[in-house]
Amino acid sequence: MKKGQKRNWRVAVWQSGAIVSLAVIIGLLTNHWRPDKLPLVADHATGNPSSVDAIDDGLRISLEEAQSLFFAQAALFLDTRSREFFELGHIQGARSLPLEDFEERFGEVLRDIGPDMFIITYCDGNSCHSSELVALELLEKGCMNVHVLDEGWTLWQQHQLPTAAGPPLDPNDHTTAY
Amino acid sequence: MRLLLGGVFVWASLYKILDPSAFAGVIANYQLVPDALVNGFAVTLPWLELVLGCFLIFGVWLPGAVVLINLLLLVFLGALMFNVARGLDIHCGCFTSDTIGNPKTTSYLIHDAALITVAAYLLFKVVIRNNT
Repeated sequence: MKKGQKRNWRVAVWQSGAIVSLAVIIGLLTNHWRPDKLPLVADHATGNPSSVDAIDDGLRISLEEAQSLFFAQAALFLDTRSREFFELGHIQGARSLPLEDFEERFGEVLRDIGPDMFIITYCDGNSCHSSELVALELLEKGCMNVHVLDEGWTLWQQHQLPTAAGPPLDPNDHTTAY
Repeated sequence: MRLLLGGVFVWASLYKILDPSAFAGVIANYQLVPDALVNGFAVTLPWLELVLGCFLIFGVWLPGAVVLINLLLLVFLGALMFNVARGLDIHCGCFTSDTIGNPKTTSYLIHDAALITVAAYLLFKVVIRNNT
């Protein structure tokens, strides 16, 4: 490395430190004086509040219940994440019904499913609400047994329950397991 | 190039500064930062983006600003890629705190890679060749 370059890097390092310090000071001071001040330490484990969290908790299902229904093949799992994530991995036998494709694909995906079928929707992460929104849409469409598995994909993987990968199977293929 | 990248950083910082609570939710959702540090990041990171964007636009402390911008973009890209790799379908939170709908992760990965290319060019020009 040339001498001039070495000097440049040294300058860059001290300037970087100064810029970070400046930003931290401004950020902390601004937060201190703003009316909607954010506490510097808070518990985010339960997720952030949002309008969708106001959904009736009666929709939610525990992992244990979902797991029992899965092994009894008594429920259809609907993956509401985007198609690309479904293909990377999903609950075994689940069908893909992303929220943004709901109106377009609802009829096709649930073509062979009766209104009394037990349906469990899932997506992933604290800020993922597509499973709840799809569940509400399904209720509006007349499905009677719809439930939401919060953070479904993470929980399912953490408990090493059966998963699969690849594109969605043809919903008209009645050999599809669920 | 400087103005473009600076403008992107200023633009990206604005919603985060206006609504740090929503941004804290976005950071928490990445599941990479310990809970205790989430709010600290939420109140300081947007200001770092704003300061870096302004410094880049006005040509202040360019070597430091360019190095930090490269580091930040690499961290952002790494965080997105890490979550894609472990199958988390999370929202980027890069320009909006909206967490409803398709996260468009692939699109954000491409945007981030394009910004890194611009930042790397500036790093070469400002720090390595010392041509400001």
